[in-house]
Amino acid sequence: MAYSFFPGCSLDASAKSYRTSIDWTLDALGIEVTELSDWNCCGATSTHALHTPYVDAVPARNLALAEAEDRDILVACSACYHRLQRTHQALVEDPVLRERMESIIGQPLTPKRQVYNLLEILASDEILKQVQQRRTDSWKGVRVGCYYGCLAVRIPGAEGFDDTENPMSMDRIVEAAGAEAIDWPHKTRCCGASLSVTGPEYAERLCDQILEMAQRCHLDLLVTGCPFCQYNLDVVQWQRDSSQEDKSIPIVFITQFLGTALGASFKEMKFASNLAGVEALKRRMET
Amino acid sequence: MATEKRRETSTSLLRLVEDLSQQAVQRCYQCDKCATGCPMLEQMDFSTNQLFRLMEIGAEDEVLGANTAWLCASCYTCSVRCPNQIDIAQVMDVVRTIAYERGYASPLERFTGFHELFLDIIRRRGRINEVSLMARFNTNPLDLLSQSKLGWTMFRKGRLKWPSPGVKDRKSLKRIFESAADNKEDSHGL
Ligand code: SF4
Ligand code: SF4
Repeated sequence: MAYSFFPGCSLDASAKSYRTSIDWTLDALGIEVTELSDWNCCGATSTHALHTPYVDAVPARNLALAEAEDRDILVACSACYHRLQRTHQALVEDPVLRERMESIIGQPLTPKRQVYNLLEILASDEILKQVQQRRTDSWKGVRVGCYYGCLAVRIPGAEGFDDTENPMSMDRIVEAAGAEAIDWPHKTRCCGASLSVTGPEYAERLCDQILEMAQRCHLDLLVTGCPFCQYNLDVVQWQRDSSQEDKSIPIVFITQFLGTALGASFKEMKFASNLAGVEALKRRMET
Repeated sequence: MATEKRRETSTSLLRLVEDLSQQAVQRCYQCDKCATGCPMLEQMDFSTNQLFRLMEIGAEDEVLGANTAWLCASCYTCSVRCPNQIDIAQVMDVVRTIAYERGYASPLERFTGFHELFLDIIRRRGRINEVSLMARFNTNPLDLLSQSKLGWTMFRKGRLKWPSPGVKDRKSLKRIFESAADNKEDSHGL
């Protein structure tokens, strides 16, 4: 099945390595995607931070584009996924809203097309089997913490593709890729990304709690599917003084991780663009 | 909605919040589950459920003057846990908006400026470019200076990108922003 891929704004810039590793990994696994043509920003925090009337209209334009392309949408960024999925659900449940949105967008919005998260596609039985059969030993013995954050798994009032309290989709991917997925308490603890510009001291405190727990659980690295979590947890560590360098925990995109397991090189997965602890990780992988 | 019958006794702020958020705040039975799991609780003047109680007794000034809604990180932990299916994070969005429109200052100085700028970029270009967002936002040169070491590192690591053309169909964006703003049911109309 081919998907319309919704990259979102970050995958083009600060999360370029996510985009590159997604393209490589999906290609390797035979998952067909085409970029949703002329997509727009999902609205992120800003359409609801001050409760604007654009909160559904802005994502709805993308849903209409996918309807026109007659394909399901595949979203990698947790924040974009959250906004698109919420609007999709609202359109399914509320015909009045749908009518209103159709008149605002000026296009039909029969929500027959689904919105999928990258994690749920990668964690399907068929893909996991393929990964198990093809993986190298790159991550053997590595203790991985799966960090899901908030927005991929917590959509109020919706069924969701994973458990809200103890999600397992990434854990399954990590295990299939030949590493050890460690059960740890802060899988879904908020990193404060939505406050990282407007109240950085608060975001930093939340990141520190997550990173401290990762230390206490002796995790070698964290994997994530969210560009904001990646950036936030990466930058906080980079800003510490260099004496803390050996305490750094690399924050790795799930597709950088999976691509490596499937034989991609560090360079192909753009690990050099990660900030914290990547040199040590590289040395470890090379020995 | 289950609150319909109790509406007459409810205070005007409570009614407004319930209407705008489409959440039945009065269903809250103070189990404290939302507060216990809130990562920002320690920093908040009142917990989310305390804010609901204050709304019920009509303590409008305390509700709107509290830092609670401004510090909410929109993590949705409370919203998915509430046994009464109140989307608490959505209520926080509405309380914050009412406070803002009634002239209560945000404890986060940069909050409204940042989100307004962000929305403006979506309205005009359809996509966010992180470089131009931060360049326009950090008008204070000292801010730029403190961020420049990080900026340089990000540049070296290939994580910055110069502005791309954005969405091609600008007309459709304009239409969305204009007609959504006109739409009484969606706009908060305060
Ligand atoms: S979890 Fe729901 S019912 Fe319990 S205190 Fe919070 S808002 Fe009230
Ligand atoms: S959504 Fe806001 S109020 Fe609810 S738990 Fe998260 S930070 Fe606290």
